[in-house]
Amino acid sequence: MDVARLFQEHHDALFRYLERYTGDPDLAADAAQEAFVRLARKGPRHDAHVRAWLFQVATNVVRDDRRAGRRRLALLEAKPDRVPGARPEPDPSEQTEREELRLRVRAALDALNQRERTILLMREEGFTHREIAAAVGTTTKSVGTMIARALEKLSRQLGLEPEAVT
Amino acid sequence: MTETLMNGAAHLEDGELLRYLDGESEHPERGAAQRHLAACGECRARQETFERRARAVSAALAAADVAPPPVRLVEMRRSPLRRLTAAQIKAAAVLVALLGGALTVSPVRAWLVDRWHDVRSAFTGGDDSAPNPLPDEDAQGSGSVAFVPAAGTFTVRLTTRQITGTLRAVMGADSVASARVVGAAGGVDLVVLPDGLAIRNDSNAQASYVLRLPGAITELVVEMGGRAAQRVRSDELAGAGWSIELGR
Repeated sequence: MDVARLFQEHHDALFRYLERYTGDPDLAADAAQEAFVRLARKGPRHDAHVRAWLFQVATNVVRDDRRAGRRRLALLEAKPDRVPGARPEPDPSEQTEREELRLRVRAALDALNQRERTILLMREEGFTHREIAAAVGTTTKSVGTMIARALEKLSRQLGLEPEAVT
Repeated sequence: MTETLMNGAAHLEDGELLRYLDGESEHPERGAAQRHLAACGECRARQETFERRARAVSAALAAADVAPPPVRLVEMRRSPLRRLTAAQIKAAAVLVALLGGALTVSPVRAWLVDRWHDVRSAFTGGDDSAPNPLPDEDAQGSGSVAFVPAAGTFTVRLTTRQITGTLRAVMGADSVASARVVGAAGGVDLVVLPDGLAIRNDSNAQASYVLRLPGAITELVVEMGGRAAQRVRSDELAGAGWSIELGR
């Protein structure tokens, strides 16, 4: 298995999915790295399954991390200057606007339950309904309905529905 | 819930519309959905709503994304210390993939410490009595690391000047770089970076460091506490090597 190639192909998408899933860039980076370490140790037999395998493993890593407590959050709160991505940007107003958007999207994603969030974010990464169904333990047919509901819920939370704009 | 049209045909369910939209519906469902959408304005409107919603949500998510961390894979070659299996080499390669900026972050470092134990096992064959090359947060003091640097210029970054000590660098014949702490009294961490080594010391530390560089290194750069970097050519490292006083 060519880990270097797989890293190149999947790392950024995996990080994006995990950061959207958790809202925590540190945790996302750690979980993505952990997934690749596990891949190097003992990944799936066929390359065709690697992408879904990586996402599944990394999702489990962040869930386990959250079950284990919020030590990471405590560390970040104690040393906010150590948060990656917290580097000052040239334009403060742009930075503020971006931060507001991030908070709004974060709050909307947090309003989804874990299953809805997984389904929606896996769809964003281009997974098939069959792969999504396998990841969340449901039937392929029910994935469509679940995506439709999650999309509507997130869209309302984000204020993107026409009736919500007054 | 399925509703019924005047002509007796049922409206498409949300799941059917989503499958159609995502290109997931198969024959004969796809054909039936196509025919229904051609005849039913209400379902066409719902389909357009789903499309608009999906696009808007994607755009909002993308606009709020943060850039991925600066990571890369570094190929790790065979160490003379022990023959590694392919899986162990790959695990080691992932270990050294983090760039320096991320290593200053405690959670990332904690991860690195965890992974280092895996890689150490690869080098030592899982011998737990072997010296710990990257000390735990609460067991700092001395140690050694061995790794393959990623670039021809090898950079050593010391946090600060300390009470006493020296840094000595010599050239080796193999492809592995190693660093060893000698006579440490005070907290000192050795952290492997893709382009070299970070020595996380403090101003009260009393320790010396011996650095052995692989033959492929063309230049050593020493940065200490934000002062101007010292650059040393590889020929200055030959023989007895090159050293610098770290004392204040």
